[in-house]
Amino acid sequence: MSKRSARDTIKLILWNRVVATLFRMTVGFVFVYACLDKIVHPDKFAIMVDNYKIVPFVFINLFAVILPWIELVIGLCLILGPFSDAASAVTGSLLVVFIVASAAALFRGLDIACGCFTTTGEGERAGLDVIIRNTFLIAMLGYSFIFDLLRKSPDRKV
Amino acid sequence: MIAAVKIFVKRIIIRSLFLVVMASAIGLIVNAVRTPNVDLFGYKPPKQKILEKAKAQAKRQEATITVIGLAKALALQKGGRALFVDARKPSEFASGHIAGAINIPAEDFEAAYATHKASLNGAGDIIAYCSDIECDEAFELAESLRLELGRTIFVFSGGMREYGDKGPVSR
Repeated sequence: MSKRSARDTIKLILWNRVVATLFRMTVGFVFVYACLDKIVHPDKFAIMVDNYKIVPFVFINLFAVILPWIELVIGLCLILGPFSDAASAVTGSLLVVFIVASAAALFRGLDIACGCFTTTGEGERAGLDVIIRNTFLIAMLGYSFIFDLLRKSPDRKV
Repeated sequence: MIAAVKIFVKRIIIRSLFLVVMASAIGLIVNAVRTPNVDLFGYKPPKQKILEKAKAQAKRQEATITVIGLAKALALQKGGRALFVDARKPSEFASGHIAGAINIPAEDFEAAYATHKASLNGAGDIIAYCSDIECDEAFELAESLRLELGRTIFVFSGGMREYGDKGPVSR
């Protein structure tokens, strides 16, 4: 196998439609799974939001009611495909917000449940784990977003 | 090229806004129809909730059960703000009760209380009674009402036998 064909094979394995779709759907499933308990228990999720000490009191319930539904809608869009470009943008923005919130909690020494997947208050703590996971999710999302973008562009490269 | 990027960014922003607005609307509608729903701008931190619970409990402990006689019962009835609560069985209530009284049988408190909750909350003085001085239902009912409402409840101990035809009666 020549040098060029080996490079092409590696490129084909690492940069293809299946991987892009798989990444996008994985992030979508994570968001759909994450929103379920919050939709059922918005009052408990409000306490999780309050623990971060970022959102003003007056907006905490509003935030706790709306955010899980945004997660559900963008999660479904990422899984099913329609509006996936916009859903990727919103998801990426949310992940950045979650990273900043977790970093702020870590920096201030707050030992709080992250409220990522459950509202019980006993789950994963807000901290480095959450930051690393969300960074991975952003990377996966970035991959699929750029792949789709290049695929759809007039002078396509993939 | 720049124009194409501008169009692309604009399209992404518009679509993103559409998704966020649509999801928010769904969330708000679901919250509006579900029971119990969340007060959108009325978040209370857990500490405040505990404090309110403690206050309500203290209020309940302060509330007492006061036994009254016929004269006091008739005076309160005349005042117009009293609510008589009949603690007897529905069949006894139907056979004759103090005019304007509601029926909350002591043995079936939960269901009957839920039905009459609004009138009890709006009542001035609440007076429980049963058939006569020998019966306990009025005291049982008064205790349940005291715990639920956190306020003083009167017990007209003479009940229907003493009341007789000294005041208006409904059947």
